[in-house]
Amino acid sequence: MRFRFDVDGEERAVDVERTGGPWVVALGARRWLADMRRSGQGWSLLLSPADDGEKRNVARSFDVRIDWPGADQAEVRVNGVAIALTVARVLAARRPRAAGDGAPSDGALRAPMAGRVTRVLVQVGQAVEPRQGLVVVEAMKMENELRAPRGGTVRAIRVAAGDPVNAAEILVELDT
Amino acid sequence: MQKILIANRGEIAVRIVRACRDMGIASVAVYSDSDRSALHVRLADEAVAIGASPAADSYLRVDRIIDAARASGADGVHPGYGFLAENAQLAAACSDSGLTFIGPPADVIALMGSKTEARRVAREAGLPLVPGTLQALSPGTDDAECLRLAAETGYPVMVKAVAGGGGKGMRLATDPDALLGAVRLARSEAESSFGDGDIYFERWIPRPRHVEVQVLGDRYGTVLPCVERECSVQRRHQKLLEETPSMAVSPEVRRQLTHAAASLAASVGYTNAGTVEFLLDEDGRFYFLEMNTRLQVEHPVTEMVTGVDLVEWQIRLARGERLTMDPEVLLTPRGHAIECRVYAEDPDAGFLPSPGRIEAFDVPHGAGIRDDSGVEAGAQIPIHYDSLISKLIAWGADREQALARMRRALREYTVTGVRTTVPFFRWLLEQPTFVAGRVHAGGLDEVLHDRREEAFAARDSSLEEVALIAAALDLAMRAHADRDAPSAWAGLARREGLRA
Repeated sequence: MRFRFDVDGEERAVDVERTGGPWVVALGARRWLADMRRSGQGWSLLLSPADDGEKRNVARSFDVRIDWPGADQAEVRVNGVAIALTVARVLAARRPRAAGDGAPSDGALRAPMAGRVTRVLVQVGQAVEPRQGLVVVEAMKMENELRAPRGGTVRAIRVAAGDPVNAAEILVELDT
Repeated sequence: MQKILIANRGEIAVRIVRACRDMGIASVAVYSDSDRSALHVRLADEAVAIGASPAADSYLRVDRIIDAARASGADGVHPGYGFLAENAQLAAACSDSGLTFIGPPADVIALMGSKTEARRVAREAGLPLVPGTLQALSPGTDDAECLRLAAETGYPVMVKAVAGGGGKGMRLATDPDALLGAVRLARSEAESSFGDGDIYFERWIPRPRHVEVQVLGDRYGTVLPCVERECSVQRRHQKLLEETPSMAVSPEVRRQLTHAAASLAASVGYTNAGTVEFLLDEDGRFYFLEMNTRLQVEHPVTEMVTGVDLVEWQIRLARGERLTMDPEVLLTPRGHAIECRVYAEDPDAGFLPSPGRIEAFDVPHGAGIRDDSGVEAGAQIPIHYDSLISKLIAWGADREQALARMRRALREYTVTGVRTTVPFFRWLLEQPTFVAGRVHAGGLDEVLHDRREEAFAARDSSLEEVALIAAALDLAMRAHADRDAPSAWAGLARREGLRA
């Protein structure tokens, strides 16, 4: 079986086959014998080189967690280090749909998380510099000054002091 | 004392429940609507609901805490830290209701709660102060007067809330142009956090270390100080990592610091546990900063090097026992201890809070490791409270061993579902300046500014290959198992590029 993944923009293929006994995995020019078992809240993965008979009994051991936050999105932690992977073919199929979806490059200031608006620092029609503070949102007892993603003119302010806001909610719209 | 009500939540409530159980004392948890399933409720002997999720409707309600104590028949109240821990009204309400408040007397809390009053009594006790205003500036103080007092203090000026604490209501003004903005922000944060917009000015001390001394006082006039804690690893004045002893404190400075802390505590009739905070400048001079009239978040590091259970001693002192330990034991650290504060925050997104459901929660164990966590797998982290979920503490015979054990423990520490500060600590403990002990209170902010938002988890191509193998095996094993019982996974695998 061949799996294609996208990791940090780079496509990588992994070949996996079962030969009756252990799994044999090929990645790039190297082949491994792999033994992955449930262990604790995650997995224990033992890897040894498939082509070196003498070292087969001594495997490298990895502490692995695998989460699938989306059907095609894997977050794998190896020895505590998180690595995000995407099943590449699914990614290719989804890209066109995401494009016209009001991506966050529209200059709007969005709430990075749920919280409450403490103050609005600008007015409609006001010209703002890039990174100028626009709105102060309190979340988890800390006030966070949210800054303009780019310079421009304030077209609309969608919130007022005291308003609760949800993550990703648009707070201020900018004309650029 | 037979039964103690714990007026708090999270890891500190769990810590106090456990201390009560160690002492054969019953514990009563309180909980808001969002904390019904929290760990501290399950571990306590009894539990009382005290209101809606916002802290102002539950954990900050003195009347409901007192009602809960009365209803449960508790005879003592432990406030933990945060919430009402430094609220003189709770301490006073406890004595009015015949309950023992596990902390200092109400009037001492009120005195030290005013940072300007604390500066006054510290000066009277002979402690060196950071230069600055001795009087509070009320919200009515006009701009010209603010500018005049700031010029007198000398720039850069740190604008601080009189009722402040925990790094809230603090803003730095590097010059007169920045002063009024800093005053406005500090006042606003002080008003929303403490309900008091009074501020004062202190001259900013360049590259200071933040060093503090734990004290214990009994009712008979004895005050004993402990070896100092170094708390200079801070982000925007919030402590992230603490250790003891400090690399920067010589035995001679330790003698002076601990003596100063004990003198101040004794001069105000301090009882129970408290902490005197100091700034240590680059020349080794120290200045009184403030006194915290409660247990500190970072108390475990002191426990690890002195062998003293501070929460147990808080309870013993509150019930009138005398301090019986050898003062030298408290001043002579046995080994070295470090604490990492695990917050539900995303270090790769500017430490933005990351509330939500914890999926996996797997904490490390082993030699020299102590885990003080307040959550578990499946817990929901509410948006209403501080985002501290756990504290990881490492002890070693020396600093090098403590660091090695902490690195090992951080490698094993697994939280999924929410982001945490764990990857940040893994990075920090590899930084040569930190390993060499060259830290100061603003140092981390400078480093974070220079890094922009570069990810803390560095790319590691060999681990990346292992991750690819693991993900492929996971999909292959599911597909394999599904030959007999087809599922969505097998379907996905077939559709999306499996080639047998």
